Amino acid sequence: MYTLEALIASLIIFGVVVFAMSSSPQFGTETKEFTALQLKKYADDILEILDLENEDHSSLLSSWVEKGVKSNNWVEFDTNFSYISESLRQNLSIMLHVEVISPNGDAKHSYGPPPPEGAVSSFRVVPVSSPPYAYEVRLYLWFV
Amino acid sequence: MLSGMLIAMAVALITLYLTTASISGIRVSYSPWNLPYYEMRMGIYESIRAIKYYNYPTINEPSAIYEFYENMSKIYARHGYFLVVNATENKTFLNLYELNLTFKTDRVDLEVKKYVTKY
Repeated sequence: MYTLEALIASLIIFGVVVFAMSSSPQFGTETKEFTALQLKKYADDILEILDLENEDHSSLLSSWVEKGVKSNNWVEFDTNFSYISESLRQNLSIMLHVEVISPNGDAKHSYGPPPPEGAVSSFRVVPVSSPPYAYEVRLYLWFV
Repeated sequence: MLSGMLIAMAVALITLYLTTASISGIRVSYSPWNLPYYEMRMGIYESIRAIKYYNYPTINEPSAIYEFYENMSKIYARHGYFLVVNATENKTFLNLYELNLTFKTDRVDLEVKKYVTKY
């Protein structure tokens, strides 16, 4: 009687251990995806907030890009992204790299250290008042 | 004897429940990752905004809207999304544009038709 009980109990415990072990590696990759999702959300939100419309339908981001592409003056763009970069690094341990790319794919300007392999990126299309009228701002984020 | 077995079964059930609960929580939070909500929302937002931006008195260059849309399609294409936007001026109501937007990926097929005011 005792032997049978012990056998059943040990089978159940064995089953639980097998189940826990089989679920753990899967859990690890899911966490990695979750981190990527979190970074993507941060990147989306940063770009969305910087691109909120003013009264004349331009935005902070579009005015910085406009200054940069029109008179090659990227000071405002770099200064503001350095503030954002600094606060992300201090508060959330996130690093930032931002690029301004023309519609044909030529990189116009970039700020920040080159992004590593696993960096998550988001982009924003901003209007400017002279041809080619649209520029892509691409933001890469990754955890330190 | 019997209580030991019951406890063992209870422990097994609780472990099973907790593990599935925690994994499904992450699955749920992971699933929106597969749908480009941000890209869809940005596409609509930027298309509407372009009409207002290029019609604003300080810029006043309505023909630029079409080039903006063409370039926006190119930028979206680089990220793997199909986006075509078109806007036509309404002949009856002069401050209205009719906006047509098509956004496609392997999982999403979005068509938006919208009337947008110039200002």
